[in-house]
Amino acid sequence: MAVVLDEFNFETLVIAQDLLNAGEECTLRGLNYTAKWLAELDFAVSKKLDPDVADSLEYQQPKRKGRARYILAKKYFDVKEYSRCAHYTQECTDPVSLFLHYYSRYMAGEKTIVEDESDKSSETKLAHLKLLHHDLGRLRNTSRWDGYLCYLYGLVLRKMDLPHSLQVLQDSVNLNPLNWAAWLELANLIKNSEMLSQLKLPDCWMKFLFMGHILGDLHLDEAALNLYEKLHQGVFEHSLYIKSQIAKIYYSLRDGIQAATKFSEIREEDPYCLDAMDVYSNVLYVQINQPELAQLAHQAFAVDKYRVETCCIVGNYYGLRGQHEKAVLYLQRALKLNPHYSYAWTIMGHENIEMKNSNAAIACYRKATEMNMRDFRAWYGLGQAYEILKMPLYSLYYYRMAQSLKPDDSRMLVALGDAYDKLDRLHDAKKCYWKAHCVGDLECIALLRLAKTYDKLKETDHAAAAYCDYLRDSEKQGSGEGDEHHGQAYLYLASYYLSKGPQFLDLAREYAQKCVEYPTTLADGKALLREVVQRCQEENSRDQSSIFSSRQPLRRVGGEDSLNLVFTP
Amino acid sequence: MATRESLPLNSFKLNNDDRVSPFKVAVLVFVREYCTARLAQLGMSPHSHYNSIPPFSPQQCKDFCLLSLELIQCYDVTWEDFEIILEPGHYNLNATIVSEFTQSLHQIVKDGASGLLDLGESLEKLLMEPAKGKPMIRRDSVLGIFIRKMVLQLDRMTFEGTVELSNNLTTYLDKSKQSDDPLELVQVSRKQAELLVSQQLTMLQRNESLAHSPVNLQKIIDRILHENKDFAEANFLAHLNEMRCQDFGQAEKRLHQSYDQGTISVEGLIHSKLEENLMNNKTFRHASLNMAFLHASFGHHELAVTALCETVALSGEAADHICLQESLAWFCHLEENPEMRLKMMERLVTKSSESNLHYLASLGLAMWTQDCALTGVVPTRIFEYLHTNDVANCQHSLTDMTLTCLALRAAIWNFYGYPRNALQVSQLLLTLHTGDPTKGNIYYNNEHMHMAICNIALHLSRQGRYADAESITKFAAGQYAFQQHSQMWKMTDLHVTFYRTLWLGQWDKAELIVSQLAVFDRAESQAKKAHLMLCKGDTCQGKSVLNALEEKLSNIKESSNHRMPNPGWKMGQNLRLQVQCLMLRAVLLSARQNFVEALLQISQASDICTKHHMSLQLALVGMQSAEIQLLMNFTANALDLVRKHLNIIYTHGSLFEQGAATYLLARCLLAESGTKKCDPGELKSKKAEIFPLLTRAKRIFNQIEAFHYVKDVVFMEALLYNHLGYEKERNTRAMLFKQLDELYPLKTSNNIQIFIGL
Repeated sequence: MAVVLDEFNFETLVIAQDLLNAGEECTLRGLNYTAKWLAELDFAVSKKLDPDVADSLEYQQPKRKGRARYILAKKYFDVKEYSRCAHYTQECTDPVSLFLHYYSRYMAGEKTIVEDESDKSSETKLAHLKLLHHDLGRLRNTSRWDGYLCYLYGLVLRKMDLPHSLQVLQDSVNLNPLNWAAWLELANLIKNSEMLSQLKLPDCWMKFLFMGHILGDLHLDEAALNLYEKLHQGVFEHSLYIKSQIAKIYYSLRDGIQAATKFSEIREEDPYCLDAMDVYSNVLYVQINQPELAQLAHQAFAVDKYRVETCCIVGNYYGLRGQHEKAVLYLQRALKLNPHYSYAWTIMGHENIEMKNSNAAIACYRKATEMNMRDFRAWYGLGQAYEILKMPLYSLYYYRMAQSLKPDDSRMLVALGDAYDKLDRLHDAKKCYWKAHCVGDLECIALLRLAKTYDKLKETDHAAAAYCDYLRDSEKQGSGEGDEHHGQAYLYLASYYLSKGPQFLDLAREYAQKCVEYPTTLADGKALLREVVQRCQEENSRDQSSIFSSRQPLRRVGGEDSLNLVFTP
Repeated sequence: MATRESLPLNSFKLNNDDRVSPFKVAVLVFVREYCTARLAQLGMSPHSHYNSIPPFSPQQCKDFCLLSLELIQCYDVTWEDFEIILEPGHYNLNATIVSEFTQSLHQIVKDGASGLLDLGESLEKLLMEPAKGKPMIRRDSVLGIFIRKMVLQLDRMTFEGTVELSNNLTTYLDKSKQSDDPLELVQVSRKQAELLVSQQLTMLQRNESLAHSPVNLQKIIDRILHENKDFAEANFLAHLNEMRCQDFGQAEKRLHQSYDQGTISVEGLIHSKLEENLMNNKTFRHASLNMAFLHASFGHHELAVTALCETVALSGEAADHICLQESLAWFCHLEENPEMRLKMMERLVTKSSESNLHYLASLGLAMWTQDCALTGVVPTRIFEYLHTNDVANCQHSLTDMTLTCLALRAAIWNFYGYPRNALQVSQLLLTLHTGDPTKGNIYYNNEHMHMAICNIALHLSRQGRYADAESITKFAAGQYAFQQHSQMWKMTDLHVTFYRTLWLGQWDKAELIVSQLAVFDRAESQAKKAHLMLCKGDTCQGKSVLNALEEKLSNIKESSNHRMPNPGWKMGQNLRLQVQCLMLRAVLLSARQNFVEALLQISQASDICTKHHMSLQLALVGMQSAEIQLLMNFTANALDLVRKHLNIIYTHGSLFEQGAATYLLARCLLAESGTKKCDPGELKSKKAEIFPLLTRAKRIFNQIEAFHYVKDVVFMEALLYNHLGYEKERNTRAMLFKQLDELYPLKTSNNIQIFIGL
């Protein structure tokens, strides 16, 4: 683990005061989404406090000049007249108005881009950013520089893809650790846990929330879950944000039931909340829980039909119903609303795969990976698409990417193994399947593939042992789908013991009898059974005197033998 | 090879070819001004300020037409460049027109949207018939079509569009915006980016030294990609650029990226219906082929074959002959079994010519020729093949292949031991007119050119003109510093320096060079090391190095050093090294007095040479044999051998080889004179005949700065003079020897001449 966190020991009162202050400051500066998020947390934390104490907290507004001018500008900002706001705050020097000036300029530029996305040349898209970059750069080393301006500067740099944005954003969270937006921007730039461990972060309670967020993003799920659970048990017991993060991580850990319970709890508490509900719809999709998904879609549509989350939920619902064209339609709508929404791109890729349109799927997945390069589902999808196109060498690359993003996921490992298998690199395939088995294989498929690979490599002992383990594990899990595979496993084991020699004939008979239970292996099983019987008779005639004395112990030996087979590669 | 035609196709093309850009507005205004002036001159317009200027001369009219054609066709240029074009000197234009043009352009900027709308109206008037006569611009002329297109676009534009265009025009004309911001350096629109990428691609293919350096190119690509995220070709260019830097991981990443994006228009995915997105899978076949290319060029043989199998499966399904043949060409390249190779190539050549894939047919024939030459097919046949190939290349204007074939011809001449002919072909290659005026007149300057340059440098060194050779190598170093084949000139340089230091007797320096050479070519460096050890007289180490070399040579798979592209004089390197190894082994054995074994080695070497028609090498082996036989006192035999091979060495051998042969001849004659019984006077005169030979050898050795050998010759002269009783001459030679020995002191116990040199 890259980052070791110390104990979380901050006083609830301090946190509540911090949240109040930060929320007010963000509101003053027009950072509405951050203010909303802070308010939500504040609400949750205040529940932990004695109501009287909570009410006694208040924000000390600093005195400043030009109150009327500021209020006018802020009102313009609130009604989205950004250029006007910027104009009125041009000459201001106090930190709030100064930030409002630059932020409204930024927002004005972004607004025009969103309004006519396709009409603009790339040059004009960057024009306002360049100006801001220039102006903020000049302001940087003056006394008026503060955490918020630093955040805006970092944002501009990130939008322009400039390398020092990481440093600037890091400065920003150090200057003002309570600005959640800066933390989020910073998280966007972290590519791996090494980068994370090199960050210099302020010692503030906000760091823990950031760590949870980034650990989840980097798919270090166990660590993230640990952290969130700790936070959830402590100060943030009532926070829906923490709860939804926990649910997301459960989903990532493929624990659908837990994730679904958490999400439904959130819905009960706040039925109009759409944040993270797209993930919930994914959970329901995976669980094939159509009624619940239908209800969710219905309600989401009622709350706000022009939210990307809503479109995604509806898309998922149609996808589950098998109406892929309609699903794509809604996903297209989501992407029109927000073209940078990587989740929708991934789901659109899935839908295109369903519709056998690999080319479109590839483009969608690629887009998703560009939006969020840690999206292992998109990488996995790319691999699948190329596999459908019969290009295993290509898919290998993508599976490798997916696997490196989520090293402990058996699905990635099995897919990687399959790709190696197709390329006839059986030894590599073997390693993948073995690892997949070791990290915990929910579908129980790794052992089966492993056994088949051993069979291909003519390592029959290992193959038999793997089949044995496969049967044992799948029976333990009680999966009913693997019938066909079970039959094959029994068939293999039967013929394996048949070839092993006379002392294993009983085992061979046992397995052959099991074969007969499965329709696909019925004929082969019967043939084997006949052969076993024949061999037995031959044995009997050859060695009639000692049959009873030798058979019993030998059988036991055989049984033990099958358990002792070691198949570590 | 795979870069041809296999770019990610269909990378989504924005339909912005006809979009009105600020530059186009400027062109329109320029045309309008000219036409108004012309109308005024013809008396059809009451426009006041044009009435005063004199009528345009025919030259001015012609220049305007040429310029407008140029402006319509070229990509958008910046305002600064536009002004430079309009300056007097480039085109003969009326100064009033130019000043009026800039004025009205600025007026339009001032007027904002209304200025643009007015412009549209006034342009339409130009197309309509005036009161009498014909319209100023015919509707169906080039200019007319251009103007109609633009007017249509202006008409279609919404008000926001017009405002935006007006804003863009303002920034376009604004000179003050030039700042030192690094972001401003490369400001490219989509269309300019496309042009830039395709130009760079052509340059990488034809003349890498004209393209940007890898670092700069990467910066530019990053910039382009920042603004056009889905630009697949740019990613492909990045892929090629990474290949230049030999960075496998990045190259692989870029390749995947470029083909993922190249499949489909992402914009279309959001906005259009799905049916349009279903297309054939041609791009995937090329993707797979390029993957094979990537693995092959990094030496991942098996993966490359796997990728090729995939390509074949995909193209077989789609019945794509072109892709199948391309894959076959790569299979030929990768196949290790020579017989299989020949079979495959035969198939490639016949199939490709059947399906009119001239490039592949020609390439296949070239590979076939090379393979045949190395398997010992009669030279006449080889040259017949080359001739056929040349004719085909000319017929189909395959400049690229013409160069390849010339390079191959040079390599084959070198292989057969006719370096003079090789030199001639190399010069022909260098003087060939390869620029194509329709494609930007980019001259080819690729690996083959590099090979030819190295050939020339090597030839000059062989003639003892080291300074000239050095300047040529320096030129090559400047030209090909960052390219994948940059090792070629380095190896040539090391090759030459090695023998020079060897002849000067600087063992330590030579050893250093050997270790440097090992970086590029292990076998070559081992052969040189063995040579060095034997020169030093260190037979013990010499033997172990020779053993290692022999083992290496037997392990080298037959094909691995005659793959395309063939690095010039390295063609048949394996055979040459085998022969050299046998010669060195013979020298080693004779140093240990085991002459019988030595001669066995020599005969093996000469077998190889005869079988493969390597005439110069054969002569050198003969000389080596004579040297050994002289040691064995088989004087007559030795003399015969020397006389037999002397001619070819004098005509095609290097100066060193000529000198060594002359010296050997002198020694043989001397030894022969000792064996015959005749009167002392006759003996004396016979011995005196040897002096001219010695003088010649001495002159040659002096010329190539092989002072180590000069010493030997001088010593021999002194002995001979002593023998003949010329004391004065003897003393001068002795003094000369003493001086040389002080200058170039040398300790060696080897007294056998080795006939391996430059």
